[in-house]
Amino acid sequence: MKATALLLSHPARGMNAHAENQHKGYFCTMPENARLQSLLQEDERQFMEALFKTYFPLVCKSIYRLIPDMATAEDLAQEVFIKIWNRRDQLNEVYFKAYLHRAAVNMALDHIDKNKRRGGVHQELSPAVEDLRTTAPTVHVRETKQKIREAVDQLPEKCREIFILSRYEEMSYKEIAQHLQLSVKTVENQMITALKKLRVSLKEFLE
Amino acid sequence: MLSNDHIDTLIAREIEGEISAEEMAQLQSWLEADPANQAYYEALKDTWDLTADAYAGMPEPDVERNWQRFSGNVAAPEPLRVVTRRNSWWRMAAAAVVIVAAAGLVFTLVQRGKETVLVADADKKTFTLPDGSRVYLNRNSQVSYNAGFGDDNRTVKLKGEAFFDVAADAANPFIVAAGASQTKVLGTSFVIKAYEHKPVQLDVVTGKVAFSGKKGEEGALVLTAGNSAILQQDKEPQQVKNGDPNFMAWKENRLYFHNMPLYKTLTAVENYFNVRFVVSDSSLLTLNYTGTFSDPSLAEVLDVISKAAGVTISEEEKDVYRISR
Repeated sequence: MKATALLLSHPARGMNAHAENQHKGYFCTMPENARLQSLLQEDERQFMEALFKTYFPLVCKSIYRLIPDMATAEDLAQEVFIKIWNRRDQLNEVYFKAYLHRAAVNMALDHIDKNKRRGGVHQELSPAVEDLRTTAPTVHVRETKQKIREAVDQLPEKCREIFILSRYEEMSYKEIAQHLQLSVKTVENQMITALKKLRVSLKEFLE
Repeated sequence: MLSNDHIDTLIAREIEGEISAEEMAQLQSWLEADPANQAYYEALKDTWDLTADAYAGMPEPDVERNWQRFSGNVAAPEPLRVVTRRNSWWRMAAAAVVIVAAAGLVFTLVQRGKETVLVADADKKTFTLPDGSRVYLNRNSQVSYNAGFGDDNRTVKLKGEAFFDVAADAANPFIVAAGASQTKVLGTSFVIKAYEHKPVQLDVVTGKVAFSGKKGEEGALVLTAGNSAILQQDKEPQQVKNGDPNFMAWKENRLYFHNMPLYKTLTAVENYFNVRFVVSDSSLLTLNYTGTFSDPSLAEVLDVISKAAGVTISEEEKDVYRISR
C-alpha cells in the first residue's frame, strides 16, 4: 500500500483548499492524477482504493454542504464511487478531482430533486439544522460558523443551491447555470438575492 | 444612467471574478458617484466575505470505515481463487497446463522478418506449429516464434491467452515466454493466458512445468498437476491456490458455476462473452448462483441467471448490461 500512503500525503482538504490548489496546483495535483491514471492501468483495485481514500472526504463534504446530513452525504458519496467503479474502463482521459467534484454536486442535486418530488426535503433538512442548534458550541468562532451555515440553509431552495455552488464549490455562474438548467442572468440575480438575505439574517456579525 | 438591476449584475460578476475591464470601469464610476453606493456594495461584499469558511469546522467523514463498506460491497476482492481438487470437472480435461500470464513488460522482439506471428483478434483460433504442437488462441491474443523453432529450440512468446497441446520431444523442451515469466514444459500440454498489466498466472492441470521469473531457472518453481503460481512484476514466482473452474471456459466452450457469488459468476460471463456488467445495487453481487452451460449463447446465459438469481438484466448499451432487482 505504498501508493496509498503516497497519495494520502496530499489529502483533499475540502473545497476551501481548492482555490489555493489552483495556484500552486499544477505541481501537486497533476502528478497525483498521473499516478492515479497509471494505477488504473496496472491494478484497478489498488487504483480504486487510492482514489477513494484521496477523494472521499472531498466528495462527501461537497454533498454535505448541499445536504447537511452526514449519513445521507456518506450514502450518496458511496454511490458516486460505485458509479466510478462501474465506469472504470472509461476513465482514461479523466482529471479525477474535477470529475469527482462534478459527480458529487450532480449526485446531491439529483437527490434534492428526487426528494422534492416526494415532498421530503424539509423533513430531511430540519433535523440537521436542529442538530447545529442543540450541540451548542463553546467557542465563539464555531458558533459564528454554525449560524452562517444555518442562515445559508434557510435561503430559498434554488437561491441556496446557487449560493453554495458559487461560494463553496468554486463553480462559475456559467457552470451553475448549466447544472441547474437556468440562465446565467438568473444565477447572477439569485446570487445578489442570496447576499441580500444573508446580509439581513447575519447582521449581528456584520456591524 | 445605470439601472439597479445592472449594478447588481456587475457586483455579482465582480464577486465571481469574471468581470470585464469595461464593466469594472462602470462599477468603479458608480461607486465613486455616491457614498451610499459604496455602502451598498460593501454590505454585499462583506456578507460574501463573512460566509467564506462557514464549513471549515464541518464534520469529517470516516474514510476508513467508508472504504471498508465500499470495498466490502462493490470491489469484493477475488485476486486469488481457491482450488478444490476433488470433483473438479476440468481435471478430466486433456493433460494440460494452464498459464495465466500478463505482463507490464514489453517483449523483446527479435527481427520481424525471421519471426512468425499468429494472431486471433475478434474470434478464437487454432493453429498447428512446425513441430506439430497445437495452439488454441483466445480472442485478442497472439503467439510468435523465431525461424529456428522446431530445430534448435521450441520457444514461443505469448500475449493474451492460449492453450498449447505440445508434441513430445524430450530433447527439445517447449518454452513459453510471457511477460517476465518463462515456463518450461516438462509434460505434454498446457494453456497460457498472458494479458498486459496483470500478474502472470500459471495453473497446472496435469503434467509438470518449471515456472521462472527474472532469475531464470535458478529461482524456478516446479509445479505439478492441480497447482498454481503467479508472477508479479519484479518479484519471484509464488505458489498460490486457484479455484476458478472457468479458467478454461473459453477453450472448452463451457461455463460452470457452483454456489458462486454473482460477482464471480458475472466476471466469468464477462470474460467468456467479452461484455461488461454494471450494477447499481451492490448487495446483488453477493447472491450465490449454481449452474452449468455447454456452448451457450449470451442470451441463454443472461436469461437463466436472471431467473435463477431473481434479478433483471437489461442491455444498457452495446455489450454493457445492467443488473438490477
